[in-house]
Amino acid sequence: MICKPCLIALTALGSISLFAAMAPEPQAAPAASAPAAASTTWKVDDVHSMALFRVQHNGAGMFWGRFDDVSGSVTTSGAGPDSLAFDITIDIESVSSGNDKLNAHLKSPDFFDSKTFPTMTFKSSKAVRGADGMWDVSGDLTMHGVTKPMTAKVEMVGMSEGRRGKAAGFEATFTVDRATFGMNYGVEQGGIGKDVRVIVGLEVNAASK
Amino acid sequence: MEERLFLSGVLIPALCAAVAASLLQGNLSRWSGAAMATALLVSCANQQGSWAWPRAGEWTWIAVALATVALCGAAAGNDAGSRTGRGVVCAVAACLVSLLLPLPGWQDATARITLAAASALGAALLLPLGMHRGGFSSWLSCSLALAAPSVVALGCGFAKLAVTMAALSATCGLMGVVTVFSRRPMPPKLSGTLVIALACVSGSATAQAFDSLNTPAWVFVVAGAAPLGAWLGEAPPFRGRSLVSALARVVGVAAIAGLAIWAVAPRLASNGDSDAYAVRGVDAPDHLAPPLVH
Repeated sequence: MICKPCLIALTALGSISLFAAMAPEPQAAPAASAPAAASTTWKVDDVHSMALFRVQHNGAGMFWGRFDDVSGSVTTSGAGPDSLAFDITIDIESVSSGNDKLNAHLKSPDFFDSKTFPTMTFKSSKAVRGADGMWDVSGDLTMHGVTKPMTAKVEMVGMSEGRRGKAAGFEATFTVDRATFGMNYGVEQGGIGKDVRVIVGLEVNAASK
Repeated sequence: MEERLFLSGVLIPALCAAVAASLLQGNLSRWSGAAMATALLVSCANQQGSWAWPRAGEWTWIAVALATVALCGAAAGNDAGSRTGRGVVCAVAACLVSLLLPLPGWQDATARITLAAASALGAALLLPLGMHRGGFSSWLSCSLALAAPSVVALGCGFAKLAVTMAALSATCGLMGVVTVFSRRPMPPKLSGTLVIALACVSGSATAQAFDSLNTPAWVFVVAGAAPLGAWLGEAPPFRGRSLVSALARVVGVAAIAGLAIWAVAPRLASNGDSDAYAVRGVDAPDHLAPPLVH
């Protein structure tokens, strides 16, 4: 007869093997878009770039928050430019609401889970310029460990050349359904909206030709 | 919002567990851990909005870990044969918790060993009581002990964990009600004791792992150790008198749990709004607001 401690040990080993077999495989990173010919790579100025978001709270007002650390690069070709490609990373730890307790809650697994998923990324795969001069930039948004296709409306808001070289500005606007990214706190209870409007303001500096 | 959260995250899971416990009344001692694990799983699923298997790194692995421990405890029977056997079960359960919990800050070998050791020690110290003390006061003590990591998690800004731990706490309370109406005292025995002890330890470790407010480490240690306050009822002045012993058991747990809760209470009390995390006075950037209106 097998002794009970041995039975427990066997059960435990079986459980661990089962969980290991059922654990999901890590998701592969989306392929980076190919740089266009005669392209310029612009580095995001993380001091003058920021991401703002707003979500409805208690079915009433719009609550605003922001991410202070935005980094990455933008690739353009032509003077217009003729094409655009974005590779943007946002540091979740930089989330700021003006309230320390709320910041901690936003970083917790109720929302962004910054310890497990420290960054949010967007890698574009296609950019189409509309008649109004705005770009529809499509790509993969990875947030909270989930990657989903997303299209942002992007406007090139300015370009200049000064002592520090060329600089350009972009403003991207898009809406995400946070529940589809597994971030559902307060959605079913109706306290916090599921659609989050995001505005990313980017100032970029020409890094190389 | 809070009412619906309480309903789906605490009350429904606890009622599920209580119904399960009532149906299994004759075997409650054996299955009490499984009933608590049921509450844990239902609460997690309700809050995540699905029954999907937890993704890598998700905090809901706490439910998987404790459900596995509950099943191991049930498989071992009510007493696991001997003191040595119970020791082995405690050690295995502790290893399961430390292996299955993918907590930030608890991933390296030293941290996992620390977590396993704390879990094993907590379970081993609680087991002598859990095997024999089964009246309403014991379940009330367990309920109070589980309230400590719940409130600490809330103080750390982790509401889902707080609700999940509250579901376990409510389950223990309802188990106490069930035992009042049963003919004989029903101690949590092996399975239930393991889940209660490990829930306190792993719940505190989870809250600590996701804390962004620099809560002192002792708060998590105290919250995890809250069930051990039940030993006050075994102190010589109280041990011989059942009513006094029961009262001392509850007071002992309440004192330790209360210390942890007291440490985070100012954070919870400082916001007078009904939404603990509501923010007032954050203005939208006016120059950006108009284009955003739907």
